[in-house]
Amino acid sequence: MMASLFGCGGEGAGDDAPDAQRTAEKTRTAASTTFEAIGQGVEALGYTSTGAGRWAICGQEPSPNGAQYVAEIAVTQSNVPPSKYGAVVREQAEAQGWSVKEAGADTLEGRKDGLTLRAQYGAAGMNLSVRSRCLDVPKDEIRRLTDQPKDDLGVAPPS
Amino acid sequence: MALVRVSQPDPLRTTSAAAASATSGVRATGESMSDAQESMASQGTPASWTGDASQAAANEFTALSARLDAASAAFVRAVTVLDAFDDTLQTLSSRRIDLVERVSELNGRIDTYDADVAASDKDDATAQEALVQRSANLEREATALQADVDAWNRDQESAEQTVIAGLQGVDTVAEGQSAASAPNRADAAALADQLQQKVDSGDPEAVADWWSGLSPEQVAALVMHSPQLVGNAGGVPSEVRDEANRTSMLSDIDYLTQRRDDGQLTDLERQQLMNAEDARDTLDDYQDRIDPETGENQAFLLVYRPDAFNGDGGVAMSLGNPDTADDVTSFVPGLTSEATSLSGNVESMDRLMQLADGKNGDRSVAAITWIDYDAPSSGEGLTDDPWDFLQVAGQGKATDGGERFADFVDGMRASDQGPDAHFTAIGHSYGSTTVSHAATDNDLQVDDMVLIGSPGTGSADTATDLMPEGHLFVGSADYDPVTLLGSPAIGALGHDPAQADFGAHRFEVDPGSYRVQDLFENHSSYFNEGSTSLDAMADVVAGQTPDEVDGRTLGSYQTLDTLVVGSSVVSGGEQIWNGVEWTGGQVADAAGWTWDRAKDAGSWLNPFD
Amino acid sequence: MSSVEADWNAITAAARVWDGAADGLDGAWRRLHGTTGAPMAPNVAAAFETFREAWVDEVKDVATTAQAHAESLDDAAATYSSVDDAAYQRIRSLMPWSYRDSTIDPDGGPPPMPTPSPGPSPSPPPPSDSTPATPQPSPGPSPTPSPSPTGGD
Repeated sequence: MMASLFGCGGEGAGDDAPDAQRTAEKTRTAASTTFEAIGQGVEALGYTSTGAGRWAICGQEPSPNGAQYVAEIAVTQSNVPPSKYGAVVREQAEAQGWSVKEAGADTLEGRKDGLTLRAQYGAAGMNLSVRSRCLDVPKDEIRRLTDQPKDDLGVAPPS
Repeated sequence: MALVRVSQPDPLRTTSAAAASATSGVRATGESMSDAQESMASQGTPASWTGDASQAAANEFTALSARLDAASAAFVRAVTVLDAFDDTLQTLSSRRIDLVERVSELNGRIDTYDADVAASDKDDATAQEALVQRSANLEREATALQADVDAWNRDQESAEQTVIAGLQGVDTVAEGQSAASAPNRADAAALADQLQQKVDSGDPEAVADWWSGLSPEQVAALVMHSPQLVGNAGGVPSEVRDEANRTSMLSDIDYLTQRRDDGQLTDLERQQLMNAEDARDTLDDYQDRIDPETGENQAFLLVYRPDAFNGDGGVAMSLGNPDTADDVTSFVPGLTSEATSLSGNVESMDRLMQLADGKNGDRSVAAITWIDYDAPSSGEGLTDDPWDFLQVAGQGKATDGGERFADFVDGMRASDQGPDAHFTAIGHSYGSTTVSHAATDNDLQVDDMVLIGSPGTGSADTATDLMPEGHLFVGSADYDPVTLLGSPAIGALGHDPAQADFGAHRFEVDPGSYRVQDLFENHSSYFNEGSTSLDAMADVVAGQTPDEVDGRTLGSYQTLDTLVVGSSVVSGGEQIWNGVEWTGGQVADAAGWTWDRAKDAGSWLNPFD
Repeated sequence: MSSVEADWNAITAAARVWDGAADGLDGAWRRLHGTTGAPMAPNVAAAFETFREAWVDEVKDVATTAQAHAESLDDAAATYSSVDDAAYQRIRSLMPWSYRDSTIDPDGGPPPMPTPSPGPSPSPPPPSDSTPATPQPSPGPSPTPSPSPTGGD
């Protein structure tokens, strides 16, 4: 009933709160294991935090069409040089089951289970994110989800 | 012949982000102290008084303001050394990366050498001679590189000692008093007056010029004394605007939270607190996002005016540093005027920025969300019907907003470093009318313009009234009712720029849903993931040209009346065109309008099913 | 001891100035107290924390004093009676400078009203560009069509 022929909103035939919870958990799990694997691969010496996950709107205000879960962390220091980041990310991500491709200069994207991994790196560090698909939830649920405080991914500090 | 590998430099024990965060807390405290100090000083002994000193000292306003003045002087010194430490850390960080590269590379060659030695024929004198030579060369390189690594390690220690000494120099009240009476102490109030004059004269280039002549201590003093002036002044570097605005934001939260706990908040203050917290929450969303080239946090609070527009607030936030980015875009949203829509709009721009970044090769992108104008809202008692806003609001706010936006862009141009950035303005809904006015009335200094979901282009009759040929891009979904307000003739907000005879470059947008209850959704679908509109906008931001589609001509699209009737029929005729309270219970104006959904949704007729 | 008529309006107004300052300073010392040096290198963090604690103490003391001054003046105003000279001198030291010559002379007229500032304000007054637009009559299409089909355009 909610699906529109004209591409209004997400891919699910309507999602609900339990779907959202499952999606958040799945995204967090994939993110924390992948971030840790990449961090170890580049011999990370520091991150911006232990990683954070939150809900973000899909589409646009004032009428967003859904919500997606975004998990992020950034590597701020490492003992592997940035010139090797691309190779390390590809290797570690593929070992985690992601199918990886280039998405622009110094940017890699991976796909797995409806999730999208993104690594953008440069001379001073690397941004890592895992996003879920856009969930087709009603507007008040979008508001409820995006008002929630961030979740800690619990990514272990580098050894 | 065993070669010793070069050791990696020590880890950087303090990141720039860690130093910046501590400095931010000190600045915010300093601002609150400075405000209290001035308030007390204004009730205390005037500087011109020449009578008995003990009388002056007996006045508590005088006495306490002197204590705060000593504290302020100490804080200015502390912030100055912390800022210097932050700068040094950024340099150390990039040097470290360089060293890590060189160490990895050289150690790799040493590994290769070791393998070659192991595989070599001991009886081959020529080969052994060559290996000895290689060993000597590698050892020389390793010694030199180790010296560089050791020097870096010492430089980190030295940077730490410098900041420690600086802090120790002002960690007592007596030291604060000395700092307060130092002859070369920066006069923050005088500097603020000078800056205010330059801002009032409307010349951001002059501001930028003047700013570049300030000493680090003057900068520290001025930011702590007048962060709201500095943070919103065009021409001031974006990094500094961000620091100043975060300072104001934090000290506002501190003060207003106290007032709230004391039960003393006015209505305006309550809104200010909400705006401050919203800015803080949005910045927090991007706490884990760094600029991969500099390591700095990627979110910049460029405008922070929490009490503007009767409490709706003015705000602007960039992802990416617009002073250093090659491709900069600034987005002006429409009917949402409350700062609580900041995070959603920044999300949309984040999505656009990432897509554009994938298209522009090695060039960097910064994406600004600008909501510093008085957009129409139901809070002003116009009407609860979102549809009526657009018509009843008229162009007054777009005209004022256009001037403000053009000024903002002038400010960005003035603080831009290096070669001029490629700048794209994007206006959505009423924001597109605002951007249009900025161009026709105020000489908007952008290279490309995108109008999406536009109800009208203000006083522009044709594309070249807004931009030179080929630089105006329009996206209008055919089932977006807002874009039909200006067509085919002219509407309250001007011409429809999607009309073929307007002369803009129209790009493809999914027409949207044909059900009447979804029509307004079509007005908010331009940033949908995977959409042709998002892709086209990313093309423009990246300096490329999206594919062109035909503009609207008579008969090629449905006018508003036809669309409304037709879509009502398709939805079973039970729907009426009626703006209502959004299901979340919030009054339709800010975030999210939905049409009344019939309870018997399942029985709707849809000939397309 | 002579007794003095005090200007209770002025005194109450001054109490509000002290009150506002106390609120601002309360927020200030708490902010500073909550700013940790921990993410920095241990030696830098230690120096930072020494700096921090010294000024937390000082700012908290000024805040507390300001709050006490506000309360003293409010208490005095609440009595609505004349006070002895010593008590009045005490009140006088908490008042704005401009107030000092105003009430001692028993033959004099009513004291001038000082103009206290309203305390630290987190932001400048709203700009004058914030007047809402006057609504115009709507020239647009009728928003409520009849549900019966009318066919194409």
